[in-house]
Amino acid sequence: MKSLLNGFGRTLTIVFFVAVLVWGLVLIILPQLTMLERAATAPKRQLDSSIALSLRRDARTCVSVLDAYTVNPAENGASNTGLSIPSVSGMALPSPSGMAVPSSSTMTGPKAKASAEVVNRPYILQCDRASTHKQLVREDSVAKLWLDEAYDVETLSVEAADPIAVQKQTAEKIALIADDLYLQMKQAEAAAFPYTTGNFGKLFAARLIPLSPAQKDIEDAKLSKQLYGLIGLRFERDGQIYERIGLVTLTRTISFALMATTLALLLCYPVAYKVALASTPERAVWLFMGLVIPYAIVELMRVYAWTTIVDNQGLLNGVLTGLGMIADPIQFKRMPATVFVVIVYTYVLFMVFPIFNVMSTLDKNQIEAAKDLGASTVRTHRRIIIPHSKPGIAVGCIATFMLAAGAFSVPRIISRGLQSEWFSQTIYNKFFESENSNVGAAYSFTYTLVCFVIVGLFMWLMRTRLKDFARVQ
Amino acid sequence: MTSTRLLNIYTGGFLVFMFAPLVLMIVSSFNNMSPPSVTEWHGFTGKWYAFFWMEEGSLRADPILRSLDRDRFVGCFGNSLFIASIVVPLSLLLGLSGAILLTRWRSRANGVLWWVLLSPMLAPGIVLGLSALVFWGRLGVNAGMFTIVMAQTTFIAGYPMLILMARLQRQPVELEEAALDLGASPFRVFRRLTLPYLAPALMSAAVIAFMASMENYNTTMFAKGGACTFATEIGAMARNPNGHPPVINSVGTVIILLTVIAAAAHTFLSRREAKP
Amino acid sequence: MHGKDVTLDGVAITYPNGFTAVHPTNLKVEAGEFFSILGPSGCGKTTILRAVSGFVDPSQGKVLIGGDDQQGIGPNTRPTALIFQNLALFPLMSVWENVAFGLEARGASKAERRKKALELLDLVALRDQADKKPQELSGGQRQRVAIARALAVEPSVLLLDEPLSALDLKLRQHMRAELRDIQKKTGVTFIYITHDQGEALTMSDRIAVMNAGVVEQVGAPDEVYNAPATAFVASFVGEVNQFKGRIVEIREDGLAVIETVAGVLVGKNPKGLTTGDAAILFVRPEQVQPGQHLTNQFTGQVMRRDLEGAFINYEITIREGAQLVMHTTNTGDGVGVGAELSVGFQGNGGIILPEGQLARTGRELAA
Ligand SMILES: Nc1ncnc2c1ncn2[C@@H]1O[C@H](COP(=O)(O)OP(=O)(O)OP(=O)(O)O)[C@@H](O)[C@H]1O
Ligand SMILES: [Mg+2]
Repeated sequence: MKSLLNGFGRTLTIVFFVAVLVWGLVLIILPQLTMLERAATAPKRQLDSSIALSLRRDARTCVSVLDAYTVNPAENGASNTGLSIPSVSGMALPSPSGMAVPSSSTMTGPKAKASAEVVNRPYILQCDRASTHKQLVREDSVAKLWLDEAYDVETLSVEAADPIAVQKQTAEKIALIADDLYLQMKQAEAAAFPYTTGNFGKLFAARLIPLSPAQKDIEDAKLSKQLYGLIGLRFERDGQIYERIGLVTLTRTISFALMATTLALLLCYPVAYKVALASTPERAVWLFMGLVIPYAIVELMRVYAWTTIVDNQGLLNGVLTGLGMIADPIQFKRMPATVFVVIVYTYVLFMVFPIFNVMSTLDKNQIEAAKDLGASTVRTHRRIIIPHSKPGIAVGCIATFMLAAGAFSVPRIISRGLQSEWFSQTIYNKFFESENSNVGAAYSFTYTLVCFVIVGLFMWLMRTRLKDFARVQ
Repeated sequence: MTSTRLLNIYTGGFLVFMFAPLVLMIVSSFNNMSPPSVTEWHGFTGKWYAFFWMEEGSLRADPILRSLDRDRFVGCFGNSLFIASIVVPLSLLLGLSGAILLTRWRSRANGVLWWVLLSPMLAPGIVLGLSALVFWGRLGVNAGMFTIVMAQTTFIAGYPMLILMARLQRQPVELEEAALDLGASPFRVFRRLTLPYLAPALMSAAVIAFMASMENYNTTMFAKGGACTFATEIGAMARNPNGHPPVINSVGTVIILLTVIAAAAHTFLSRREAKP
Repeated sequence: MHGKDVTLDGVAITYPNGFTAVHPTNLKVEAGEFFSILGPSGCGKTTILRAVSGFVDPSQGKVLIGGDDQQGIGPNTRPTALIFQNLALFPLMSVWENVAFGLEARGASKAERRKKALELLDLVALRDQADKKPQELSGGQRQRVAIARALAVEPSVLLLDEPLSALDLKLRQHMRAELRDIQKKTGVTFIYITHDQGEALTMSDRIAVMNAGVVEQVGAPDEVYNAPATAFVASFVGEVNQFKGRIVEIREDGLAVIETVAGVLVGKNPKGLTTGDAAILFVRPEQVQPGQHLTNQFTGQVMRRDLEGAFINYEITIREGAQLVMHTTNTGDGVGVGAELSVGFQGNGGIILPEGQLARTGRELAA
């Protein structure tokens, strides 16, 4: 501290500290903590109070609709469709699985209609939903829990067969009960501990995979599925297949990333060696340029460049058709291998440069000395070159792994949703497509953690330190 | 000898692997066909380039170009430049501060600081975008250009930091001490010695930060809200059900061309420097 | 320019890692003096210099310059200038800009700066190199630029940290004379650090000999060489024969008798040792002479003979496990290796000092 003050003076030292503090806190730590908080907060619309609130809203709407209906039955009867369309409240319906929210509201419709034989009014969604026998959301979806039972209130629902006046009365009563419950729950929730691990639990949740017997046999034969079964990500219960979808995607992404990293290392080591140690300076300059150019080109462009190859009308299919080897184009975009190859292509150069940078600091005399002492090529690499390049190899592997594991552009552009998701896509969908940001945050946090653990483990194994990151520049 | 040949052949093969897709991209950018292809040749055309300056009338006449929103594209590109113009200086400032604290601040906190400041480079890019979105959202800032800037700066500042750190470590501390001893104020030492010494590193750090900001897709996608950038706009074109328009290939070709020129110029200049 | 005196008043320096590099030290350097600090590598010389120039704070005691306590005064406001071990010339500035940097910091105009810089470059005979970059100069020229740069701020005390160690022998000898000259001309107090005893002996008005953070002796070069205060000083400064033993007799005439592996020897006893004390007798090779009837008389066999032009060095085995080194002037009639020789030294030619840590010999250092 003192040496900083002496060296840079008070003003500059303060500037540096403030800048680093802002970076560390405002840009790095606090956002991650907010993510953690978001991840540990139960989704709002799953809280009991939200359910009571939506019940009250439904009951009130039901009352007012019925009001309007009694005033002018014919007119409302004609326009009832407009009323029954769920708007905001539709989203507020509890969904035990946390997925496929809108579908539960459509399911209630036909069922209600079927149960009511005598109908005094057209179907009104809100009246149908105004029932104290409403399901609550709990983590363990095994035993279903109902509002009326859990809070010991009268079981009431608006029966379409009842006279309108009775229906109105019931609805009003329900609204009162719901209102009461809402206030009560709100207080309880405010006092209760606000955090839960439920969102993280979603990652482990198993989901039924509907499969026909024939499909099941095909699936069962796949190696990947068998492996999932081995580590408990896929299991069979009562003749049905369940998969822990979240974990399966995460595992798949991480293992693909690990494989891509390994492949990149194998591909790059000889190239780095060639450019750094086995070329004349003249040629090394050209080779180096040959590596820099594809590296410097915008990442997305490197991805797009591949679409020309793997498209249905792309180069590969064109050549294969031209040779008469296939009749119909192969759907490369549906193959996980394609995403894999493009990921390797896109990020491989992040492996070359760290290795190259460290390797080129090796004194070539050392190699010659080793050869002179009778070491074979393999031994020279194993005893001299690889140990020297280790920091570069480690940093290259970490960089490539992180890029591959976090890849989003490649699967998004190449696969266009035609194949299993990459974990980053799952998170994207949780946030922006199903609006389930709490679960998304939990996923994202877990993702970061898993990556950190893997990188930490790797650094420990390779005996590298973070300082090496600065050294390989 | 054979192993040398093998290595040469392998390296050649690797370079072909790296360049072939780029060459195909360039070729298909001149093919009058959408989505871009190299197998069916529908005639040479420059219209995928001309798209950017074509008259409104002829634009409307083309069945494929008609469906593209040129103004939006240009607007998004402008956004990218704007974002980079904030991210780059900000990253340089943060990176410089980080580099100086990490190299010159002897303290117990040093190890922790290493982890904190490098962690964005060890985290998946999308997570940075998301956390910026969530964090600023909680403070009441809607996702948009601001969150993009914040999210990008989080990890881009790491590049200048690493580059400057490598350089700072090579600068002997005695130089600064000598200047202090001659009566210079710390601020003058910084202005007259440290900054000029760091200048080349700052330049290359700025270039790298600019490129990283322009091309960033993964992080930006998650923090962008309703805003768009050059990269997200290009990425969005992939969603086109008929395959992406070859306009992307023409943009790619221009980028490739610029990159080649820059790389060649850089190589040429540094070689001239190396020769006394 | 005129020099100021520097006083270390009980200064001790402990680094943040807990290592005490300098133990409590009292030292006074007079104004206008050429004062050397001599000691082996790592003994704390640079540390003392950095305390005087203000880069480290003493953990105990205080530094006074011209009688003023320097506590809390930073390096940029002390009346000192430091010449670094590696010179630390600014690589991006030209020679004259380097020299003028201190003036720039004091707000002098450009014309003024250039004028003053050229004056100083004149002093060090480098005026014609003013517009080059430091990298384009030779080692000795760089050295002189560093001196000019330090003098430009008109310091009262110039601190030099082994400035000549990077130069080759010829240049080093030449620069010694130049430094002495400049010091005479300017009258600035020089505190000069070196681990080269020859340098210290030829250049200095006074020398402080340090070992492991402790100043063992301060005195004029003759004093340090001829009357070392401790076993370390005796063994570190100059070449010396040493015989370890125990005092067996005290004589009236200030001499004492010591029993060693080489026999019973007589030497001066400046420290007033008494019978039974563990002690070492030191004798300089030039005090050893061929001949009979000397107070300490031996006969031995010549094991090695090195001709150094005007001098000849002999290594003579005088007993099983006891060697004696002798320097004689080359009179042209020396004996060869294997010859029997009668040698010895007078009683006041050797000096007996209490046993203590010795400087490591070249052979030990090499191992
Ligand atoms: N910043 C520091 N922190 C801890 N210990 C230090 C530091 N600087 C120096 N030392 C230790 O203090 C002791 C004295 O160092 P100093 O640099 O004063 O030696 P020196 O006498 O100048 O040696 P040389 O002749 O090799 O330059 C050494 O043992 C050294 O290891
Ligand atoms: Mg030193």
